[in-house]
Amino acid sequence: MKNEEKIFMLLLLAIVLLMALSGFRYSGGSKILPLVSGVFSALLMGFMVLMSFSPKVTAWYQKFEKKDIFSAEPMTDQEKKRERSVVFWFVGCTAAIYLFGFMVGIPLFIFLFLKLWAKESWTLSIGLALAVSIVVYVAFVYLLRVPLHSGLLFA
Amino acid sequence: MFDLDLFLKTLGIMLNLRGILILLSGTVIGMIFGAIPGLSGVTAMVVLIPMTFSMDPVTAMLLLGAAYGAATYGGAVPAILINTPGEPPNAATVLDGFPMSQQGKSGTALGAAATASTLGGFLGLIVTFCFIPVMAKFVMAFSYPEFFMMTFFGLSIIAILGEGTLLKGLAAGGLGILLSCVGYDPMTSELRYTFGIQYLWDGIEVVPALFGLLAIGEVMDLLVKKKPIADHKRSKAENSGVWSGIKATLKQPFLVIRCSSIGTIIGAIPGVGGTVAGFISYMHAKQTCRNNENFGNGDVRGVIASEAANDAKEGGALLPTLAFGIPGSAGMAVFLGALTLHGIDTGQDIFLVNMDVVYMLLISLLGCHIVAAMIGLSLADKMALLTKIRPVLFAPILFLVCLIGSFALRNSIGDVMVTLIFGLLGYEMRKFGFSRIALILGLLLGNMAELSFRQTLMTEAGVMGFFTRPISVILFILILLSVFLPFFQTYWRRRKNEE
Repeated sequence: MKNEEKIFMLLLLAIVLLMALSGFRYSGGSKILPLVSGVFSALLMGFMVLMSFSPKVTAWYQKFEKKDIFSAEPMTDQEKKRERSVVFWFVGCTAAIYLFGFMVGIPLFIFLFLKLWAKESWTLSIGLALAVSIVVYVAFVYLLRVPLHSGLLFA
Repeated sequence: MFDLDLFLKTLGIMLNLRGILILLSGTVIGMIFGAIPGLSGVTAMVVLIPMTFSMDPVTAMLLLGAAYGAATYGGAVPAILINTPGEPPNAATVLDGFPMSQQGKSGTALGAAATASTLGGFLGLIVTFCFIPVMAKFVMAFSYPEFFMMTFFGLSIIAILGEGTLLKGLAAGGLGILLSCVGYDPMTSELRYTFGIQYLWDGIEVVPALFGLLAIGEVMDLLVKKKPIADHKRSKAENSGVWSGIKATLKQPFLVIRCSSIGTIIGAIPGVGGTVAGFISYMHAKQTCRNNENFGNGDVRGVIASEAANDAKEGGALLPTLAFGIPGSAGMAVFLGALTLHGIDTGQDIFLVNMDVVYMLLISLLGCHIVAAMIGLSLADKMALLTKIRPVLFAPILFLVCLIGSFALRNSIGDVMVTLIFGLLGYEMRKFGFSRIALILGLLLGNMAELSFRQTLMTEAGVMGFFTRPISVILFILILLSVFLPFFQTYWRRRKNEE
C-alpha cells in the first residue's frame, strides 16, 4: 500500500477523532449524533489505519470481505507531478477569484492554465478565455442577474 | 391520488414553445455530456443547476430531468463506436456494441440502442407512475422512528453497494453524518463544530459540497490522467443500418419488457446503480435467449438488453428519492439537491403539495427519451466527434462552472471555498476508493436522522419507539442484515472453499 493512502486515512482519522472528542463539549441531546457518528467513524477509520500498517490484520479482515481494501491504482511520476500542479492551479484560481473577483479571475485562470499548463497556442488560450468570460457575463450577470463576487481588492 | 387536471396542466407547460425549447436544450446538453467519457448526466445537471435559479421548480425539473435522462443514451454512442462507455451504466453495451461496430454494423447497434433506451425509459417510468399512489400511501404510514431507520437503511445499502469496500463506504457515510452536525443544532440551536467561523453557523451547504465531491473530483482525475479520451481511428458510424436496429428491437418486445423490469427494480434499490442493472440484464438476456452463442461477438440483443435496463432504472430510482428523500444514485442526489434548492421537500410533502413537480420529472424523463432517440438516430455519427474534445479544453471550464454555480446559490464566497475543499476531498476519496455518494448521503440525511431520532426519544415510548412499530422493526432488521450479511456470506463461502 502506498504511503499516500496511509496519510489520507490518518488525516481522516485525525479529523474524525477531533470532531468526536469535541462532541463531548455539547449539552444533552446535541451531543448524541456527533458522538455516535464520530465514534463509529473513528473506529472504522482506526481499523483501516491498523490494517494499513499490519498485513496480518488485513489478511484476517479479508476473510470477511472479498474486495481489496487498498486498491488505489499506482500513479506514474508524471501523473503525480500533474496531480500536484492541478491542485496548485485550482487553489490558485480560487484565491484569484477571492481576491480579484470572477470577471478577472476567470479569463486569467483559463488563459494562464491553457498557455502554461496545457501549452496550448496563444490564439486558443486567449480565444477560450474571452469566450468563457463573455458566456459567464451574459448568462449570470446579464440574464440571471447574479451579482458575481467582485473580489476583495476591488470591493 | 392521480390528479388528471394537474397532470394535463403540467404537460401543457412542457408542450408550449418555451417548454419544448427547454426540453430540447436539456436533452442535447445531456446527450453531449453523456457522450463524453469522464463526464455524465450528473455533471450535466451540476452545470445546469445555476441556470435554474431564475426558473420555477416545475420548469427547473423539466431542464434537469431532460439532461439527466438523455445522458444515458448519449453514453451508448461512444460505447458502441469507440469501445468507451460514455457513462458507467453503458459498460455492458460495449460487450456487443463495439464488436458490431467492428463488423460495420454500428448503425444497427446505434438504432437498437436508441429504440431500446426509449422503450426501456418509457416502461420504467410507467411502472413508477403506477407505483407513486401506492408509495404515497406507504409514506403516510411513516413516522419519526421509520424515517430514522429508513435513513440508515439507505446509507447502509449505499455503503455496501457503492464504490469501494463496505468498510470505506460505512466510514464515508459516518463522516458525512458527522459533517451534517456542523452548525446550529436543529432542536436546541446550540452551535456545533463552527470553530469560530461565522460561515459555518448555517452548516455545510449540501449543493456546493456535492459540486465539489462529484464534479471537481472527476475534473481533476481527467486532468491528471490527461489521456486522449479515445482512439478514433477505428470507428466510423454507418447510418444505413439504423432502421435495421430499430426493427431488431421491435422484434424483441419480451426481451425489452424483461430487461426494463430488471432495470426498474434495480434502480429502486438505493446504491445499486445502472452499471449493475446493465450487466444483470445482459447476463439475463444471454442466459434466456435462444442461439446465444454470438453474445459478446456482436449480438444486437446484448445492446438491447443493456440499454433497456439502463434507461428503465431512472424510473425506479425516482421512487426512493421522492418518497423518502433517499437518493439511490449520484444523479438522484443531485436531483434531491436541486429540489431542496427550489424549496421542495420530499416525502409526504412532495406528494401532497408539489405533485406537479413529480409529474414534470416523469414527463421530462419521458420527453427526453423521445427527443434523444430522434436526435440520436439522425446524428449518431456526428455525435461521436464530441469524444474527440481533449479534457484539457473543457476541464478548466467545468471547474469554473462549479465555482460560479456554488457562488450563485447564496452569493457567498464561502460556498466557493466549500466547493474547492470538497473537490479536493472528492478527488482523494475517488482515488482511494471511498464512496463519495455515501458521504453525500450522510451529509444530506444527517439532519433528518438526528431530528427523527430525538423526536422519537421525546415520545412516550422513548427508545422503545424504534422497536414497537412494525415498519421500524423490519427496517432495523434489514439494516442489520445489509451490514452484516455480506461479511458472513464471504466468510462462509471462504470456509466452504477451504473445506
